[in-house]
Amino acid sequence: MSSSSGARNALLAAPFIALIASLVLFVLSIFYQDEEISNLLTLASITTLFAAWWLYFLGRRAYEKEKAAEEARGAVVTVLQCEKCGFREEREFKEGDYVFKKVGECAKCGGAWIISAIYAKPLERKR
Amino acid sequence: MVSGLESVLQGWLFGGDTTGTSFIWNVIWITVLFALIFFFNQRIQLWTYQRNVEKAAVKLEILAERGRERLLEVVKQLGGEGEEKIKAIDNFLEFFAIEPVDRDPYGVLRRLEHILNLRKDRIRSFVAGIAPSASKVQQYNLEGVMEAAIALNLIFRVVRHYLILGKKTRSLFILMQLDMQMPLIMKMAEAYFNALKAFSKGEPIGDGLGPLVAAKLMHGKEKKYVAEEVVASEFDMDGRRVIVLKAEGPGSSVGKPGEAVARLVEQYGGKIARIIMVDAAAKLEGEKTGDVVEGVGAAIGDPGPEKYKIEEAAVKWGIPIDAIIVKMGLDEALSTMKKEIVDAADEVVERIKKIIVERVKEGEVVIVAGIGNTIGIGQ
Repeated sequence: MSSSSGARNALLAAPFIALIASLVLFVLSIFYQDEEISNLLTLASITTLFAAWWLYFLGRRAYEKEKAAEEARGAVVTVLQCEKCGFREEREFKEGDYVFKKVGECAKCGGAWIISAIYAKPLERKR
Repeated sequence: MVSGLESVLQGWLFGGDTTGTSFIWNVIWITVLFALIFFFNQRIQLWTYQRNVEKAAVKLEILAERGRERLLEVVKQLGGEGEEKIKAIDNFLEFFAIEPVDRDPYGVLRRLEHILNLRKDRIRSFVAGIAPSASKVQQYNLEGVMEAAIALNLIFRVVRHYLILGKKTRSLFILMQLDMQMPLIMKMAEAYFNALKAFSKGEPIGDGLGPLVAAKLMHGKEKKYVAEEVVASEFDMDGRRVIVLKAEGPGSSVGKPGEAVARLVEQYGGKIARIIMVDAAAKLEGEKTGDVVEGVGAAIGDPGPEKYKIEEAAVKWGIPIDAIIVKMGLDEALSTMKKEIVDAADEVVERIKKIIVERVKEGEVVIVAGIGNTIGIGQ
């Protein structure tokens, strides 16, 4: 997780660095006395600007892919509840679970231990 | 001082001086520009739309292929292996049902019901054939996976058809329409893909809201079959006789709630005070998922026959129909049930109790119908 978020941060930072570099090159091209070098600096500035746009595009695509994958990984939760005392517990959904399935007896009061709900829990995002 | 940018523009694009060379360059550039604007603008637009649709078609193909793979995986888990079965599944992905002719509308719903029954029977027997050792619930869930895979395959084939047609005829009109509808088509395809995942695991989906509400009301009470794949419980609530019905779970099924309501109404000689229907309904953009809204009319999203039976019975005996809907998007209705929808089910149960107390007199009978797919919801 940390390596992928590091890569994502790098992809988000790269276009800004390229944009600043492009601006610096452009300013230099204005103030440079030698016309030939000034032209080269301008070209370098335009190229870096395109590079910044391209890096932004790549970064955004990678971010959207990661976001979609995170959403797809969102856990499905099974809520278990005692019909008698109301004690409840949550666990990950297992194949074969269904709402109102009796799964055993309550550890606290011995009442019927049933599945009271199953739902998709969105993954909490780490900021 | 000449700036770098200005000098580049002068030097590289316009010839760099004010003599004849510069003039020729100017003429060339303006000609090219005008040619692009006047002669190739439509072609450029066509390329843009075509490229967008091609990209979307590739995504749809991937979704359809992944859907097929998931279907084969589920069939394999249920003991269905072998080349012959894969071939049969591939053929069945193009299964279709032809709607009845409606130029003469007389009896069209009866004919439509017949076709829908045939379709369901064919899918059911095919599923039983490819996974004979699966339990009834697993077979019903596999039917749901099959339906979602068929839908994904159909969406991809239709989009590919119009893409190729647009390319062949170089029709800007076809490609532009397709490109503009693509976001909605993609949303629909993604909803079916998520449904496929939920069906393959047997998780309750958003559309199961109606059966969940009914199950909450009938849990712990005696059940009986009232129609094909529909169970009902009868019990007393504050002196009123309440009949709650839902599709039999936890396998993927919607049952025949229209048939069940019509039979119950006849069974009671029309002496039903109210019919309360609960269903998931499509929300408008900007509305909140899980909002509970009340109205009147048959809240059921079937192709027609079931809704017709309920309306017919209600009209024949003059029974008022209350509708309670819970708002959600198409993607939410087809994918694993969200927490907001689970919470809304509790609110609906309270509303039903309130309606029964306020609008049904003591000693009267009321029918509560939970409409929707009951996958992952028992009773």
